[in-house]
Amino acid sequence: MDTAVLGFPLWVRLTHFFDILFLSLLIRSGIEILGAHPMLYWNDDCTPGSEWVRFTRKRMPSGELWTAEDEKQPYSPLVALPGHDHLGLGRYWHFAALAGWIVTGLLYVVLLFASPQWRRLVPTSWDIFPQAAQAAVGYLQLQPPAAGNPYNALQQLTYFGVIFLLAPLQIATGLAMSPAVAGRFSWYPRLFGGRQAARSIHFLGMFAFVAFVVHHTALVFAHGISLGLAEMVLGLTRKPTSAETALAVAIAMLALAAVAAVHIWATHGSLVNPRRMQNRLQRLIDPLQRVLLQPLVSRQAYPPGSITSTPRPNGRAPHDPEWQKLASGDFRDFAFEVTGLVEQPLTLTLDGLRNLPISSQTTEHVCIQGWSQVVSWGGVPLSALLERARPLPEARYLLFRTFDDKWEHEGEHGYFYGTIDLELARRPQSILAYEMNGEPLPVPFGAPLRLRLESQLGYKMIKWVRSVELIADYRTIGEGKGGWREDVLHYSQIAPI
Amino acid sequence: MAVIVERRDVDTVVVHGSLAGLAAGLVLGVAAVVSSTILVGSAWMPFRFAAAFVVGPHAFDRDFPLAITVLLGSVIHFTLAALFGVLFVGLLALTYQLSARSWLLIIYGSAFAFGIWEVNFLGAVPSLFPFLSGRLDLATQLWTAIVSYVLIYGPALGLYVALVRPGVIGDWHAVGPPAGTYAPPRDPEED
Repeated sequence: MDTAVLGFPLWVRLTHFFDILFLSLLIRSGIEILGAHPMLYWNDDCTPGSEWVRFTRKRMPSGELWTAEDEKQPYSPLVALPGHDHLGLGRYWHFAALAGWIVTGLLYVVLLFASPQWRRLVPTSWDIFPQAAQAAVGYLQLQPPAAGNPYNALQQLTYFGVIFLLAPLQIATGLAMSPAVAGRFSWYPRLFGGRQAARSIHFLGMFAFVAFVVHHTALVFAHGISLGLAEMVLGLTRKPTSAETALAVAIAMLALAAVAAVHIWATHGSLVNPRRMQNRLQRLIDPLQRVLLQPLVSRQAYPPGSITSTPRPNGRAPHDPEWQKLASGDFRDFAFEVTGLVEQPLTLTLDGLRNLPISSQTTEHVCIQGWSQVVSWGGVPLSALLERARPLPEARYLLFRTFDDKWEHEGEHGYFYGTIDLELARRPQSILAYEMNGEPLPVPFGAPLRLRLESQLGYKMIKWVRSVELIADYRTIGEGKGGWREDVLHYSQIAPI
Repeated sequence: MAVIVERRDVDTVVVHGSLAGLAAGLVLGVAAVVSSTILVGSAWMPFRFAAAFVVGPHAFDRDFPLAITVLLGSVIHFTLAALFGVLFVGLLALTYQLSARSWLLIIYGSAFAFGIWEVNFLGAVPSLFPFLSGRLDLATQLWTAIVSYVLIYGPALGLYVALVRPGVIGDWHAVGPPAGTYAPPRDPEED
């Protein structure tokens, strides 16, 4: 098999272009996600100060109540997609780019093995290692080795490693951060040393991709930029003429301009009209989440010894006068209501709820921002309440209303609310918690009641719950996206990753 | 609310970046001269190499004035060192790493130095100064790439930032848990 036969067919060149596009979108949107909790750990407790690296210049004060919200570090749109603290859209962009990247990668791999092109990447002899060492010596002497078939051994090993090891590692560690996957298969994140270790490895993988791009570009120059462009743009396997070189440069510049144009459109569109962008991306991403991850049922059972000693709160106690009055009386007068599309509306005091069979679970709380902690919860299974209330056939969702008036959030916003579907509510680890680590639920964590849905991200686990109403559709409530964070911060109504 | 532990003034980045670069450049220069003396038998080879960026292959001619070689080589070396130092400290400031852990700064320095070596020697030299390709033997190149850049120059850059801590106005390691949120885990013996 000689170089002329292999060459760079059109599909190699096109997948290379789309790889540049999707990888750059993944990196920028990944930086947006990192900014929501700009610290990386090797421990799942995320104890403040135990991070091995941080990308923020803020330090939380000692002796004051601070929350995970205060730890965010918004990044510039120059590096983050879309930037300026738009975690919801950053996540949508990350998953959209991921879908494109995986499709591109699968097409590439299928076509690679369906053609003789697999010889481009897959080593077929152990001689590859001494040959790669020889090539490295050539580079060190500033004399790049001659092109191989079509790569030299060092290039072949590097590309093989990036495509068949680094890329799958990134996907695998990304998946380990999904609470749905970790809840159902608790052994899976442990393969990487835990959720936070997976997050750290995911970040280092991104860094490795960036390093590879720098290295790859440097080597293209080392081998001769005009020949490199002629191969990758025009598919030539011979020395290009001056006119061909000029054409290759022009097409490469146009391709890079196209990538830049997509980034500018994505960033501008997300910042100027986030709702429209949310609607567009949601149509692509939510069905995928719903099919691939949402059905996974949590079976978490952490041992008591793994409970995080300093759990992070996220959110400040409501200023709602009714809640404050109830709180001053230790919620003795609190009455929780189950209303809406049910045969039997319910009203239960906190003692009434405590008299129902308690369900306890020690689980990992995974915040959408990126941090995690292990906490023990005790409360009433939602299924037990639903059994008593008997939903009508048209009931599809549970609408949770809260005392949380979001006083700390600027602008018009209304009270915090959220919705979940009936199927999720009926799962074994879906509970209304009134205990945390064996004590009454503390105020910063949502007293008197909070939701626990162990296959979802933390924002779905509504705090300071006032009541629940069974409804047929959430689109007529608020902005119609299924919750306060969904309406205001452009999150998704489901959160399995 | 939050305490700011780093500031990112342009003058801090330029002044300390230059100083870090010059300090690391001096260390790298000394290492290059020592290694050249040992490996090639000439202390002047690094100066000739740098001077060749401006005067071309003439810098290697026997009759090319040594004083000019040394002067030109030093000016080019330290100018690039200062520029790369500003780039390094600028990157640290942009990514909020001026207050990073010391061991991490050393690693950053090594990674940055390897990147500089790669871009310079694999990108710029073959493209812009092809007459330099193949001029150094393997032992010298190994020393230059791995020892001089990754193990000496890069760590020196990182060490400067770790010791001087430019722009750092507070310690972030001392953060405690949020007040009023500590809930001791239940003792399993009590269950």
